Amino acid sequence: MLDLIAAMRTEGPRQALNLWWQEMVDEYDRRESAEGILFALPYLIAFVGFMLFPLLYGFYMSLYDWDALNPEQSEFIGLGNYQTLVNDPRFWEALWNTVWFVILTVPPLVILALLLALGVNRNVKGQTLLRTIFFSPYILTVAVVSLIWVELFAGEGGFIRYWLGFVMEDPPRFLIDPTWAMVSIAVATVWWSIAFNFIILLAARQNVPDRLYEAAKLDGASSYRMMRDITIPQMRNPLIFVVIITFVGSFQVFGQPYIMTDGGPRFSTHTIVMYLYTTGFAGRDFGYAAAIGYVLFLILITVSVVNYYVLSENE
Amino acid sequence: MTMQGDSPTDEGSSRQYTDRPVRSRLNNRRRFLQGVGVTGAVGLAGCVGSLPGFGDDDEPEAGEEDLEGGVEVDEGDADVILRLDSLLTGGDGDPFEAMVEDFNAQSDNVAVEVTRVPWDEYYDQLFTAMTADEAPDIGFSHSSQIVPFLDNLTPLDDYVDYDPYVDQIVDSVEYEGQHYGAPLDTHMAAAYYNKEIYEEAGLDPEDPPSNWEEFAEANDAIVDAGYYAFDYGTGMHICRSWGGWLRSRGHEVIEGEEGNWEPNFNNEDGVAVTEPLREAVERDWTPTEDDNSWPSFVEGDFGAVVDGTWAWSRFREGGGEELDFDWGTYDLSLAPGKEEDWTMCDSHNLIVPQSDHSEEELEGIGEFFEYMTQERAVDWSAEAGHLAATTEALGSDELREREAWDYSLHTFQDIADNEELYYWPATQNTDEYSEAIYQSLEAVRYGQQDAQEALDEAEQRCRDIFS
Repeated sequence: MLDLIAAMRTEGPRQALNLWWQEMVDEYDRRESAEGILFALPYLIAFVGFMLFPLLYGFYMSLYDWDALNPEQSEFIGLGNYQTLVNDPRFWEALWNTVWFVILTVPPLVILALLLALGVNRNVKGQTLLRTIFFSPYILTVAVVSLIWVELFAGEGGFIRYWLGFVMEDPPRFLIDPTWAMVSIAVATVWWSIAFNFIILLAARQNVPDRLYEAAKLDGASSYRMMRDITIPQMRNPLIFVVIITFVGSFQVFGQPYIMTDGGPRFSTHTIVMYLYTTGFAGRDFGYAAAIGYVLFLILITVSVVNYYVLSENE
Repeated sequence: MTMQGDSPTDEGSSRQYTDRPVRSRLNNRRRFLQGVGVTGAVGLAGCVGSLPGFGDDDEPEAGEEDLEGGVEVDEGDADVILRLDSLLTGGDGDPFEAMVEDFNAQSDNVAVEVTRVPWDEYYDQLFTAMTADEAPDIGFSHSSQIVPFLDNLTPLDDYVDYDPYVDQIVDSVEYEGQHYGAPLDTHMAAAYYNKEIYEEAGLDPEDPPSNWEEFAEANDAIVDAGYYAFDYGTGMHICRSWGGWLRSRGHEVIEGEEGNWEPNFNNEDGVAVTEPLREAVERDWTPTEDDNSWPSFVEGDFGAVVDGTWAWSRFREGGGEELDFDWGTYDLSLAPGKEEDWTMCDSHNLIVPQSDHSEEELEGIGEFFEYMTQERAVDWSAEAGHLAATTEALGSDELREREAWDYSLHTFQDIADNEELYYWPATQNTDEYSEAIYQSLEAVRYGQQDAQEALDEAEQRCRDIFS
């Protein structure tokens, strides 16, 4: 940019701009071949069409009292939707429910997945079978998973309540009790999606060179010490990935509460994405729904960045 | 363990269910075994990637839908071919489509093709299609759901004769002097009851309750006979009795107009009609949860449940859920201390999303609407179970001679004759405010809040929604 300003003084603006443009093109030609661009093009088109454009259009919508059926009649209200959001108790309730779900799911999804991965990595009998068993829930759809757990948590004669009845006088009514409903959804979610983290962490563990452990053993290191000083540091990047992806997935929970509890009882499982959906499709208020989406987007960006820096701190 | 049939399950309940009939316990055991089966099936599913037959219980769930259907029309079959997206996917889908096929056969130049859309996604899909200018020529809208679409619907007064319809029904699609839908029917909730259980409880099965006192007395007798007696349901079902009861004590659930709605249920009358929801549990008329009530009723093991007119299309011969006991229906207008009779209802309406329809197409649509909603009103009532929307059909002997009359239609006819039809107020966000109400009503039923607390909370939520 400084070169451009200097050239403007010496060559005049028109010539300076021509020179600058030629320089940019030459630089680009040096760095990118036509083949490379062609390979990237399908993804870029999809990214622009299905990600970037909706993202920008969503922000544009969030600045309007959006009339989806007659967009030309939409009224520009600036940050009005965002101001409403700040004072909307239903938004805060949904946000808290979502945070509660994140608290309930992220630790087990990361810690249990890590323990399972480390356990399966040991030379245990039936390792392949165990891997298949642990991974199998993940291939089910959210609808199937939710329906399975609705049956298991069912009230009258439900499987879990039946067995709990042997050790408790009055087992919880899982899906109709506001205290237990979100916990129940969290249990179903952990059972369903732990497999993804498990596979990532198992692969990460298998990439840790055995020679590091052998050297540590020769030095007399304990199992705990090897875990702390070899396993965890060597698996840091996959762990960061798993933590961030789990946070993002949990913040976006929708299908399980939608099917298992429909947001109830008393809206205790009404999550932020459910609120977005309800506002858009039941209330037909797409501008406000877009604003909710953007706030969620900002939350996810913030959480991801914080996670990244906290977990990378000691690197 | 708190399985029905073995021990009292609910707070405040002192009744022991050791005398519960064997079938009831079997029903619960079946659910338990189903849970065990599900757990086992999960392992299998892990290998095969799906759960074949999951959900295909011996009896279909209430409201289970069938998307295999519709009416196909070949290009060239008619000058005007109209596309209709239908939300009728339950037992009423087949009779509707049979009527469409009859129309296509008798019409010279108009043919209608029908595509089924899952009813719980119907309005989202219709709305999305309308935003993309891909709406069908003809759609459905319940009266309670029509408001968000109004600005983009074609007024039908120039194409449909509105004189034949019952005033109360047709009023539900009239806005600012114009009609935006052709009512196919009105459908309301009723109590579906097992006459054999009534008899076993020493009650006259041909004389079901008509007020709160009789209702309570009958339910207590059924409980004494060893059965659960009555279930209000959950979700929107719970509003079907509650909304009518509130109206029977002089209050609309909300009042005002678009942009200025006010909750109108948090008052003495609201509390009076909400308390019975918990009372039903405490008096052992109903289990705390309703997840077993419907299958219990279908198996002949439950006194009465709340359902809509559409239940006929499943219970009738060939409907897939034929009941092997004698059953009947009675009006739900049973509010304690009621001042008037009101029963909550809604209507299926045929609508026309705005598009660049030619005059010929609009006249074809009018011809189709009058055929379906007026000429075939009796057939629609008799086959689908919903109550016809025209005065002539409601007064006809032909309707009284059909099988559905004795089971359910006579009850609905009485409701219409008494002008008890109460349409749940339609707003821009009917679903949202309805959910705010029914989630609080469920809390009362579950014993998590008393009636006043629940109505306070529901009122606040409704205000937040309307603000």
